[in-house]
Amino acid sequence: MSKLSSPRVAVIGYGTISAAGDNSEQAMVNIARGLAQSTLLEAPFFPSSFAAPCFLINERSLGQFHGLAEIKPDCFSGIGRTLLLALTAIDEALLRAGMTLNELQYRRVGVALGTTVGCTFNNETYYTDWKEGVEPDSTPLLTYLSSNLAERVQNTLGVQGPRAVITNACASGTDGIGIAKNWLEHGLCDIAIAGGADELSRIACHGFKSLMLVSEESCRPFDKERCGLNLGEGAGIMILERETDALANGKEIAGWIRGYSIAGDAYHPTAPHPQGRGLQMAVGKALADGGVSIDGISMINGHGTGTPANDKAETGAIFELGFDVPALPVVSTKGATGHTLGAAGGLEAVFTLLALNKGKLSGTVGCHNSDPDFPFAVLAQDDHAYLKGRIGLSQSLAFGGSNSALVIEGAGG
Amino acid sequence: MSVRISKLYCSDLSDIVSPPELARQLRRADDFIRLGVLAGYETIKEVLEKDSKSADSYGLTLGTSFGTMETNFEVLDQIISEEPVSPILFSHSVFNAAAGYMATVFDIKGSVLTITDFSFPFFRALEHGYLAVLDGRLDHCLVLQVEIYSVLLQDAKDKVSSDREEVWQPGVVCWLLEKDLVKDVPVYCIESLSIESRPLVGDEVETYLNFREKMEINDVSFVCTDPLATSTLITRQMEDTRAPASLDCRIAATYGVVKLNLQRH
Repeated sequence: MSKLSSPRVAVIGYGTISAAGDNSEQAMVNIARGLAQSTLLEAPFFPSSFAAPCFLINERSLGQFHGLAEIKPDCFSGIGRTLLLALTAIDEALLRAGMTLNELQYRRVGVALGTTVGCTFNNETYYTDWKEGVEPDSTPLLTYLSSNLAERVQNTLGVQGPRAVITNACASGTDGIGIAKNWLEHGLCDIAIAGGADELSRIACHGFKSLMLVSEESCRPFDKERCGLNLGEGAGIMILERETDALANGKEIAGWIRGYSIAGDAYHPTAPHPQGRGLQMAVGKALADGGVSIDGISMINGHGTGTPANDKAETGAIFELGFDVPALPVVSTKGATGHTLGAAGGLEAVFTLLALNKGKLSGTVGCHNSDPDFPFAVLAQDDHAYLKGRIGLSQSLAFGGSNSALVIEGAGG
Repeated sequence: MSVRISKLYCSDLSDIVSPPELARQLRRADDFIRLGVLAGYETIKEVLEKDSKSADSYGLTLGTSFGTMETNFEVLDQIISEEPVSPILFSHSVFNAAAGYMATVFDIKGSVLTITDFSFPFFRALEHGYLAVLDGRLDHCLVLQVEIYSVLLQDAKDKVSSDREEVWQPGVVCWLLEKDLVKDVPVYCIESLSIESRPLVGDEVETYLNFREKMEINDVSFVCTDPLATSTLITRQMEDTRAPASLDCRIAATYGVVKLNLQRH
């Protein structure tokens, strides 16, 4: 298992499902329009006497498959919502990659997916019955045992290869793509399906509320009036292949994952380091991994949750790294998707790639006045920027002080 | 370059004793976090005492089957009974809480990952740690498996298990992987590692409760009946000074096969 001589890792397909849109194309249109399609949820999602907007996907789009429609229906029996979100985004990604299920059977397919909610057993009926001494119906437990995200995706698609479910909180999706890149570089697989997926859960709603991180209004990442995050659900997926293989197989290349790194704050269980110490390290190492200088970056898709601490630490870190701000546009897409936890890194990597390919970046939905306390102004809603190049950064910060960064290059067009 | 396993540690929860110097950091910790931190402490204590580490050259990969299940249920209890959710409890219910604690306590600033899988979680974590050291992203990587299970899980296991008497013991296994540069003491090095997965069909998922992994180490067979057993057994073998210089390990289960070759040099 030795690293191949720096193969370039190409993105040959991508797919998303989020409140911003049923697929990646629709999401980009809605982000450009500044749409925040949230729904006000109250109890039982939140404690009584509290309500907050949440970003839910369009229910009709869930499980509307193209290529995956040929899979036998019983493969989807007992399938959880997070898994269904992942498969919906995978379906779009495979379609864009021009890849059939049959084609996948002859390749080693790695699956690296991030999640937070999708790895927990939180069925309340089962738990309550068990606690009250009533024999619980075993179906929810068996569903949980058959719902490890990567395992079930491999089984549903009928593919073999390395797999990982990364449970690194809100950076999990970014780490999924980074781990898949490493597998391809080491020759552990031929194709990788990578990203993240998460459903909205009332445990997360109650939990984030307890941490006083939830905004009762639509979230406003990077805005001077920001007062917290909104939770959301979704999935963001990339199909990766070594560039040489992709070209040999006649695949159209949408871009490349040039660099990846992960670094820790070693500071606090839930709060970021005030100067984004770990983020600075992650970005620096991701740039080095990709052989890209700071001057080579033409945009940053930030984590930008809308919490006072995250947005301040993140902008501080970007400034201290020496990026040419404000000439370099910095945005967050969470104003359009909500914070989708384990899915966020996957969604944002796809949005970054698509903005780079378009050469134009839309402003941050929900941000009307960039916080003047930041060392620079982020790109606000209704603004846009034409990009000077095709390489950008997508970055994630997580509980546990984990920070991850991807250097993404668009192929253009 | 090969990757050496410089330090080893494994313990049941019932056997661990928190050293006083960790009392402050662990005052609010649950068992999942406590197991991770104490295993990390026992494994890199000497390195910390030398105080010569570069924080970003250290990383950790934690594998788990069931994660922080008991803490998840405590949060669920609060929600169901309409009590205010404790922010500390919620943050501890996130699966990477133990890894985050370890990073903070030991000032680990390199890659810190948590991987969740019902099948071979230790070896999946080992694969990541091994690659990270092999390609130079890390000089030192702690690889762990932490399991605390839950009473609910034990009850469910008892319903499907052929061995109802057996109780899965919460515990931890931890290895410190390092670049094989300093050959001061002979230790085992990872020569090869492969993980093959086999899809489970229908009720076969019950195998994650009715747990059976067959392990062979140099043609000696063991039947392992809990999720920590194989990594614990290999650890014990490596700790045995009479163990042969080569350990050829093969673990087979309904859901796949792991092959691990270790050579002492």
